[in-house]
Amino acid sequence: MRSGILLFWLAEVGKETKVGLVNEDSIMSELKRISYTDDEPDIRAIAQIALEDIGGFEMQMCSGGRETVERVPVFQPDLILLDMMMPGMDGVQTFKALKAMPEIAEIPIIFMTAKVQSHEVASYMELGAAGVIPKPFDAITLAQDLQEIWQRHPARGAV
Amino acid sequence: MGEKFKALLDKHCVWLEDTVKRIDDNLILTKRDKASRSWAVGEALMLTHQITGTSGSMGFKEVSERAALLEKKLKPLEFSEGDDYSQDLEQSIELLRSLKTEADKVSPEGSSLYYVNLG
Repeated sequence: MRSGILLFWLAEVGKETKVGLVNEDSIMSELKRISYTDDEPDIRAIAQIALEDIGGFEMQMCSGGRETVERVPVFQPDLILLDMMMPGMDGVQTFKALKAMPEIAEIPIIFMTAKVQSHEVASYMELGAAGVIPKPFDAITLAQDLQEIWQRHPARGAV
Repeated sequence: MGEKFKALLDKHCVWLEDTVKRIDDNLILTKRDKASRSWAVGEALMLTHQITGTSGSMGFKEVSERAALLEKKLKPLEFSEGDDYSQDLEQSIELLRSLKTEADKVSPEGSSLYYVNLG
């Protein structure tokens, strides 16, 4: 209701022709495209089913940090999921590499990890992660869990 | 689309049996060959970690929990041989037996994902 009143007032001042109530949620960006990285093929497979078939997202699946850094700027996801323990570039190294790229630095990143003691989670959040999903994850609720983190994240912004 | 889960579960059950055997082989090697201990424990630890994550996400909660216990016991053995090494190794082998007991019961129908209807 508050957003609707504001829009109506602006329309009058700016000589806009559009008038009407706007639902606040509808002007926020939707979660549609997700990049998911895990070095284990079976985990990628189950996550892909969970997020494509159950969640309805458009997915990019990557098997390691280097591949993620190469493909994310092209795919331009709304959200990035990173496994923590991977050979070569681990989750933290991949996170830092992605955040160093201006064209994708604002994309929220969630860590997927079995290391979820409170001090560990605190360190990931301090690094700048948007959230942490514990592993093993629940394939049935994974899409919903991501939506909840997404809804809370400032990067959703307004379109 | 539930068939996608079923195909993965079938494959996972085969993988699980093979992976538990590989952990067992590595722990036997650890007992027999002192020079290979660190490497063999490292291999066993990596495989156990895979079971913890993958089996859990596949809906085999009991298997994942037992693997997590074994993983916790194996971790300190990877790089150190303290006074309790032999005892800790024996306890790891016991935990592996417990994991194997649970893994032997696994079937696709036993997964929480088996009856999910995606269609």
